[in-house]
Amino acid sequence: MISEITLIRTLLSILGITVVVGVNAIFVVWFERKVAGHMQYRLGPTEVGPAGLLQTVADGLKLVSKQIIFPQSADKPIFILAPIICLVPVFIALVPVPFSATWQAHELDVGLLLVIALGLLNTLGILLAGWGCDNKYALLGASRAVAQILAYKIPLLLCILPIILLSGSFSLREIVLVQEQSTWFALYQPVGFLIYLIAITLETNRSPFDFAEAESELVAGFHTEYSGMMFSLFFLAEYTYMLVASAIAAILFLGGWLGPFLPGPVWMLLKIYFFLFLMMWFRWTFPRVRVDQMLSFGWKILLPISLLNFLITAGVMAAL
Amino acid sequence: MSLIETTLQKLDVPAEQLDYAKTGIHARLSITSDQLQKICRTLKAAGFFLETITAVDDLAEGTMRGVWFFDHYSESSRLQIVIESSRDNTVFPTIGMIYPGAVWHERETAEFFDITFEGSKDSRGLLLPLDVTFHPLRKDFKRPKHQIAGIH
Amino acid sequence: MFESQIAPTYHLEPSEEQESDFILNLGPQHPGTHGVLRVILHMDGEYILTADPVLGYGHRMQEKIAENMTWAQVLPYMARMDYLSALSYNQAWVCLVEKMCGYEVPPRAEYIRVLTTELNRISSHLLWFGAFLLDLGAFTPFLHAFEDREKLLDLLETITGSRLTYCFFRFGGVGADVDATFLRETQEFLDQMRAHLPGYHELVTGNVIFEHRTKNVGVILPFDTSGYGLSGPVLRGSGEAYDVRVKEPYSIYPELKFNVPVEQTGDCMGRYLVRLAEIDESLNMIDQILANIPDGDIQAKVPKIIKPPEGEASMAVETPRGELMIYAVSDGTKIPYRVKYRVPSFANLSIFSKMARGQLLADALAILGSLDLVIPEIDR
Repeated sequence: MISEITLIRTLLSILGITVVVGVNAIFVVWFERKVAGHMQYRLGPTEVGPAGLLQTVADGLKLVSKQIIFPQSADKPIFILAPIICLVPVFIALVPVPFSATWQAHELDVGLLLVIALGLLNTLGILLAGWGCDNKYALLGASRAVAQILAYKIPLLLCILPIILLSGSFSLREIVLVQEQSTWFALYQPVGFLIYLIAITLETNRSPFDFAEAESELVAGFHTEYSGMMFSLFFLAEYTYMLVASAIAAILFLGGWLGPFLPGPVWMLLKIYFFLFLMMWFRWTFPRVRVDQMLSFGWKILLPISLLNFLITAGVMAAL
Repeated sequence: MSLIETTLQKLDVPAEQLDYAKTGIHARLSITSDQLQKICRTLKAAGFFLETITAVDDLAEGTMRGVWFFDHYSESSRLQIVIESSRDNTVFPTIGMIYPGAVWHERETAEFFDITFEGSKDSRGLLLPLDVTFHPLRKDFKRPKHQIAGIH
Repeated sequence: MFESQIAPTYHLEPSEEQESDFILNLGPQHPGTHGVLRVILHMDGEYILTADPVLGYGHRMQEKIAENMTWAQVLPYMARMDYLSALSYNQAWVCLVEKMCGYEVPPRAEYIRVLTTELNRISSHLLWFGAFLLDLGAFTPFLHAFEDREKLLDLLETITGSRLTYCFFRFGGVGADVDATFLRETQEFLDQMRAHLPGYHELVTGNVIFEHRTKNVGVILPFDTSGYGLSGPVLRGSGEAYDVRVKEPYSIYPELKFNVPVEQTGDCMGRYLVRLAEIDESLNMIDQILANIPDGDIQAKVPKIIKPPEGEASMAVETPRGELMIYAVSDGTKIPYRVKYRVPSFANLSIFSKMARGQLLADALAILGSLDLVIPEIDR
């Protein structure tokens, strides 16, 4: 029997996550355009709202009001399902993420596992999108996304394992609390931290690893045929996924909400936006890596280093 | 001795030296169709590159002149090869196997002038729509009124 | 960092023309082809088995248009072929007619011609720089290049009156004289460009990803260059120091001191370095022109109606893309009897199907970008 408090708490959590996702998307898209603008001798959006803050809202409204075009030969159920499958898991992945000691939708013992598992579903969404719309560019984009998944997921997990060893918990909250006792895990795991940074750029399909979209090669990759609201769902999923990945990075390596003077959630957000800024910096600086170069980089360099990192951590911990 | 002179000696066909300052062409070879491929082989071996292939439809004289331009990377020596032919059923030999870049030039010339390049691997048109039946650079080409004839 | 820099290529026997069911129509509307170029790709996964460019989407039959115009009326059409180096085309046409008619051009006009043409060359190379990096997935260099190019276009606008499709040269001279303001602003641009160029190298040239995307990608062997009639930076990236400005000098180029940048590698990186070095060379040329520009007339006396004597002539100039040669036949009337444009991009693109065979799709687009194609020039 669900108690009323649990019910209210659940409803509030859903509301909170929705607000976080929405506001984050509006802010991050604006932030990205500002960052890009200033890196390119431009100003970025300035017109709509104060400092152009409402530009994303205007763009969002435009997207929503646009016609959704279904290609004639598209597999319609899959075509519709794909953006939803992309978005829903990243929504759920926010549930176990603590923004402070108390600000958390739901505490899970296996929160980290849940986030990792849900992260995999994103690729499924991309695959369905590529397959469902019967477009060759989309298919190539989707096949690239699937080809790269193992090349970064395994190093990613091998970077997370030492953290689990250090903290002795799968709970995201616990991991931060352990860092409160000792210090930020980035100091114990500098190599793992760097590899994790590369891996989340890969995971979120961001430049220089954006082969699944690869504008100059594949037009728009897996979402070539998507328009209007369906496209904006992919867009929302990408930016929410960036938020989740950055939040996990902040929790695992930079001590989550921990920090002096400022309240917890502020520190958490600062750390998240630090990672988001890094990703934007990458995107607006680097050319795109070629797919086979990325695969050989993942398998031949990231994987051995992260494995070695894990073994050394395990060995040192066993010795202590 | 300049490069063009040694090359002309090697080619051993009657050549006409032109005034470079006035025409921008060093020498002109007026030859027959069967000599073209042999000359091109010699030119290729001497390091000449193919500048372009085109034709001139001479309505007054009733001839179609095929024009090949060659030049050299190391020293300016523009060589013009001219083959005169009849205006109808014009056939020139291809040099695509000697100069692979010639294939495109030949495709273009063929569709503009209604010329056949014998032995060419690729006889499709290049710049015009695939189904046109006219050849715009022939001097007897009349611009169709109101509609473009030949496009179905 | 990566095991091998060379992309694993798909092995094709030279004799077998492999075809597959997976046919990708690259273009005519595609962000990577920069215009209305269409390439039919037969692919095996990401590997290209055969690539067949389909041309003509921008075809306007310029050669026939020229046969229906007076010699002077053809001039504005020059800018409509290669819209990125309109002044080189201007120069080819006016020099051709001057050569046929024997007009003398005042020295000041020649200096202005070369000055503006070299500025135009820089703006073309800057646009290529941005577009090539865009092909490789980097967006920022594009806007950095456009920032500098914008100044250049403003500068050229003050003297020629247009920003892109210039029709500035006249038979026996140029359309307008340069004033002290223009010369001063040109000097300012030179200083700005010189200050920015090292930044381009810092941002792009040394980048490890860029190096891996361009080194040993799309190698053109010296063996192939003469067979396909390559010219321009595409040729000079393969170790052949052929530049019309040097080998077949026209205008005041013999009086200017400049190098012809050459790279031996023949890959995308080689072509990239050649073009960036050419920007530098053009800046040096403009320096010399600014120092030596003579006073005097900018227009020789030429007849109102131009009737070149019967005969034929050719004129070659070096555009930013390579050798442009115009061959014209005159029958002594005021209308050209036959005009043939030998355009550099046409020959440079013809080697693409050979280069793309067995390559990855991503590399093929890098190769296409490195060739610096202007499609309206190819289609004419």
